[in-house]
Amino acid sequence: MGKSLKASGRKVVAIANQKGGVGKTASVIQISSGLARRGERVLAVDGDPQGNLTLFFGNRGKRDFGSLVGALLAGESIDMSHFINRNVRKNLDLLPACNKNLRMELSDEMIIASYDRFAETIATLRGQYDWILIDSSPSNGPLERLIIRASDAVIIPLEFQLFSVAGLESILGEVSACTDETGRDIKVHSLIFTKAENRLNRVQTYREVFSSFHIPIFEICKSEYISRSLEKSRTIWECGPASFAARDYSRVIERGFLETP
Amino acid sequence: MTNSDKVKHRLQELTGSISGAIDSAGNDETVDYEFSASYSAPKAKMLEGKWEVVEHTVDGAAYADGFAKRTFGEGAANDVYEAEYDFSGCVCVKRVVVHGTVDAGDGRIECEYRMSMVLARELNGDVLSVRPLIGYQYTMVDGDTASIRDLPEAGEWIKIKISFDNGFLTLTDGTDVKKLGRMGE
Repeated sequence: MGKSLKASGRKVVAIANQKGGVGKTASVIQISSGLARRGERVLAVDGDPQGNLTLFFGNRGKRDFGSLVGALLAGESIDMSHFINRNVRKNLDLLPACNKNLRMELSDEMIIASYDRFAETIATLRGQYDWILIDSSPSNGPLERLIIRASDAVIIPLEFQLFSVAGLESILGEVSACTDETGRDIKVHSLIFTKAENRLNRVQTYREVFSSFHIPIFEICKSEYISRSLEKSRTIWECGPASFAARDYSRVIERGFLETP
Repeated sequence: MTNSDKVKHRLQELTGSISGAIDSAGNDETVDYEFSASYSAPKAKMLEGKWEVVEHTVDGAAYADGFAKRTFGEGAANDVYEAEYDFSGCVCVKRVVVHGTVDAGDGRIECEYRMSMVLARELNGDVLSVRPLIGYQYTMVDGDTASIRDLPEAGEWIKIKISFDNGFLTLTDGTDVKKLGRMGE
């Protein structure tokens, strides 16, 4: 396995893919809560206007992600305690997203203008948290760049599907562009293949092809426990701790995030 | 070309530039592909239990003969080679006995090598990773103990390819190939 995020000092991690339905939010839920259960202090940021991460963990009247971007643009002095829900789970805080109309209310130019201030705001939180995980939306635009530019690393969930894989080149290009523009070394750390089904010949073919890639790749099996987890707003650790899916996410956390040489 | 070959070919065409983009971003080391636990679990279950080596070759040549010569000298001949692997829990206990004779000038004398080792183990798809935890080696020449050595814990994991075929387990570590059968069968 390559260097873990902890070993390489990268603590702000975007979970991103321009393709929808690949398991970004599900992965943020399970990884952030799994890290928190291991005693790590974690902030999960819902950067997706759809707000599914917020739907899962709940929002206790805090201002949301879109409001934060708007406040940064307006030059307001930011008190993050107005935006962060403390302890949605033990050791896990949430910066919610509640505004599905965000893209209509904030133009691309406005979002672009907030790039640097948003990155600085996230950077100020580094001392308070061991990890900041940011859920992004399934599209390719300034909102996604806002998140990537503020991150140290990107993890890309995808499926064993041609359309899912086809989008990889695009997001790799986005990360590369953000690295060039910011002068920061933003790394695509790993890929996570979700919904793995061993019975499918296609999956074996994808495994053969991707096993030669020089990037850590994890698999999360297709699991009714994950569906149940999302339906009931209970993490995989709460509703299926002994399941294969929980073991798969544990491997992501232990090998991809925490392992030290 | 089968449908599977067509899918693979199309996927390789699509991922060729992706692989290049990943490499040019500074990722150039070989890393593990981490299979889902659901993929490894059936094989892990098949691995459990005691196995004995029924065939062991290195570079195509019988292991035991070469080992006896390396351990006891060019004149050594092997007559017993027993190796067993006991996979249980998260460890493997490996035991090896090589027994033979060596030319002492005025006749042949008996010599024996024994090794017992406990290894940590992890299975990821078809790759079994093992790491020595504790063990010992013992050699005897002509009835007398020639050496006893503790085998310390090792930091490096050794990766071995495993496969099952017709009830036999094959462990492949480069050119070192062991074929094992269930003990007691």
